[in-house]
Amino acid sequence: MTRKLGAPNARSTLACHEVPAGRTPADRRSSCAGRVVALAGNPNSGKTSLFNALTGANQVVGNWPGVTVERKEGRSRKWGISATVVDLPGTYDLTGQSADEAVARDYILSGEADVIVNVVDGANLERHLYLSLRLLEMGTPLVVALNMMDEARGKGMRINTGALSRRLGVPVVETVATRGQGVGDLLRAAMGLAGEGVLAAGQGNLKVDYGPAAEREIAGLAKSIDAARAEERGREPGGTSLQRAPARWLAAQLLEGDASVTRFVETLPEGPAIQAAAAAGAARLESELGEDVAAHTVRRRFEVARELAEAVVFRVAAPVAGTSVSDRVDRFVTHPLLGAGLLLGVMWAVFKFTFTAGAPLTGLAAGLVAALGSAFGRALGALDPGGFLASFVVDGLVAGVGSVIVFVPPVFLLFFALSVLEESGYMARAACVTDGFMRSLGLQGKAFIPLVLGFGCNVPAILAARTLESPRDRLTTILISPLMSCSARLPVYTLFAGAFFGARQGLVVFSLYLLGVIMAVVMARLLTRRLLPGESSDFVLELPPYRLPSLTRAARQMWFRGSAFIRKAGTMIALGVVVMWGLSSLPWGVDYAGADSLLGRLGSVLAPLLEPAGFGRWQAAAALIFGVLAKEFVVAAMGLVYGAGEQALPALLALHFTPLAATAFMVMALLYVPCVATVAAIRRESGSWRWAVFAVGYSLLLGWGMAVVVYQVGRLLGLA
Amino acid sequence: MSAERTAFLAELKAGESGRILGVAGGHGALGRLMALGFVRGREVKVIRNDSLGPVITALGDSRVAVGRGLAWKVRLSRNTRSASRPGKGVSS
Repeated sequence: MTRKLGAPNARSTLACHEVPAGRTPADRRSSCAGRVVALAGNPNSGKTSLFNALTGANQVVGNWPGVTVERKEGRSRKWGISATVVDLPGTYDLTGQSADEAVARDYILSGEADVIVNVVDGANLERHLYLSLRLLEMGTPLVVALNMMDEARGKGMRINTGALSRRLGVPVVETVATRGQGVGDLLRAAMGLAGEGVLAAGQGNLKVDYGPAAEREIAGLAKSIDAARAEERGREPGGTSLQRAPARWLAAQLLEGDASVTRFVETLPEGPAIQAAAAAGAARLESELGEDVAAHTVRRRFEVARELAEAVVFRVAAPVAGTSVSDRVDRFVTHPLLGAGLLLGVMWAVFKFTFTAGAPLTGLAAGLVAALGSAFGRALGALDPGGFLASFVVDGLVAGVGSVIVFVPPVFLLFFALSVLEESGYMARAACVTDGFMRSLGLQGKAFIPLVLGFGCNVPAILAARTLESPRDRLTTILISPLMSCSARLPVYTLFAGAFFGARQGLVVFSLYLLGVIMAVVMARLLTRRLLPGESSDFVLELPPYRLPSLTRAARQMWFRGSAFIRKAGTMIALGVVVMWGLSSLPWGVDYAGADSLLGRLGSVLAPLLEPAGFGRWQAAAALIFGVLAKEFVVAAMGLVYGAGEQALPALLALHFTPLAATAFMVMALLYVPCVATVAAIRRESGSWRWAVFAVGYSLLLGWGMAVVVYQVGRLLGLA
Repeated sequence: MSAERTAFLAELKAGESGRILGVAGGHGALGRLMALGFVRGREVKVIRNDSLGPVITALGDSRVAVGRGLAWKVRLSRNTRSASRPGKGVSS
């Protein structure tokens, strides 16, 4: 037991620029910003609320290196304390089996944080204390935030905080993060521990007793691991954070069959021998206990958690007998038929809200952009008539940026509505209701939410696929998301359906949405059967209690997600705008986006390919090329290539398209090539260009194929 | 037939409850299930169980939806119909 805690005092002796090997520049930044506090806790423990209460608006959202797990970091300057706060992904355990758990565990073991704040739901203490026990085993300086104390009190529960603190051997602070209560005390308690770097004697003294047989195996292995590490100390330090982990914890993980700990131990001197001893020990234990080692250790921890909870929680009011209101609501909400009906109703309401409330704002934004464009045009035109600069600013920049701004209101409102649903606890129920159906597609219930987001914008849909644990489910969801008809495609339908179908345009637009969904279903089945075979991951989802959503928190979520979307979409579109402007105005001197421009020539080359779909004209091809940038550009491009304003365009289109060709064109616009921002998102989230290229390729084929089918079948049926 | 008997979680009807006897294996999704408290000796109550979709369960103060496949891996001893729901109650 010479080395109870990995790398003692490594952190406290660290000056600002002395960064140990294996740390990334991001870590270096955080180690310079005062003390580092990391928040660990279960999903639904109120961790995010606490993070917000600590950091206010000083937040940076990014990714943990190498994985698509969101990393949130912020600065706290309140209460006279300057600290960096890192929000670890919400996890139930720290076995490292999922990407979330691996990220949280590596970070905790790395010693990067001076102190870990374990956020615990006071109203569900027993379950949440499980993670606290896990954290104590890892030997990190720990403060427990007993959160949601308002709910606990509401349920008639009183918690003896002092007793809990004594038993755990770490400070325990009661908080109501949503109202900022206790947050200052929590931060002060955390800072008190942070200076020490490691747990002081007598701190974190609670140890889970795994029973004599297991303890014997653990002690034996821990001794060998300590000896092996002592021998290795003279050598080059390895990169893995497991190096710092307490031997007892490593030994227990080894017995449970933890894959990454096994790999780590094998790199130690005598590693293979230790590993062999562990395997033999695990087999011995299993026959002695009559159950899996992990099943045994997990159960023991829960037993300790239960004893703890029973010792410190007093119920002033008896728990509600029989079935609670929330359970009765759940029975209805998750009913296969009623629940599905409710879900459809809720989704309809969300879209109604998004577009109805968004319409005036969108109009306002469009007006603003138009005014800006003409103002710039006049100003620059006076300086340099017909010049390069005016053309670039007005036709390129303003038009490009404008097309994004117009979509800001609906995207923000959609995020707002979805945040409200998430806060209320309904989203988890929606995933339950859809699980059966999604499973028939080879997916699972959690894929439903990302796909619904896709109706607003495909980019957040692809980001939301992160909630799926299995890479296969995630990839399938990412690849079919672009088939959801996003709001940017609506203007294209409105233009064409309005010009050709008059009173029946609503039906036509609805059919297009439906076609997108059907294609997504077909692609999901194809992908999960042929390209990515295997079982969909099992479904386990905690249903958080129903809560009254807070509008300010929903607004904050909306702001973060919305502005992240704009930054991402904005950079891609800015780049695309320059390329498109170049294609339209070169060679210099031709009519902007005319037949002789590069765009026109490219359109003429591609037009024959579109002939079987009924719109083999360079203008249609050019508009579709524009649409790759952002789907709503198709409308603007149509105006450009036909040289017509908004009023005259429908009449002009009627001269160039038959209703059947217009339908085929809309089908093409729906399905072909995701916009650049979506392609970039696919590339980032799938981790390779291969899948981004695949998405572009399959959707292009699908769009073209379906457009041809629609046109040719229509002709056979005698439609024109 | 009101004696306790072994069943899988997937077989319990809404309103029924049982004491967990064991969870097969311990890795992947089963590990997650255990970390949520599905361990030997715990009481589980079924809130909803249809032939399609997950089994909705109550485990202490937590509510957990367990996928159908996993629900066939949780073995438990079924409690006799208790007083919590008088009458024959819910069917699915």
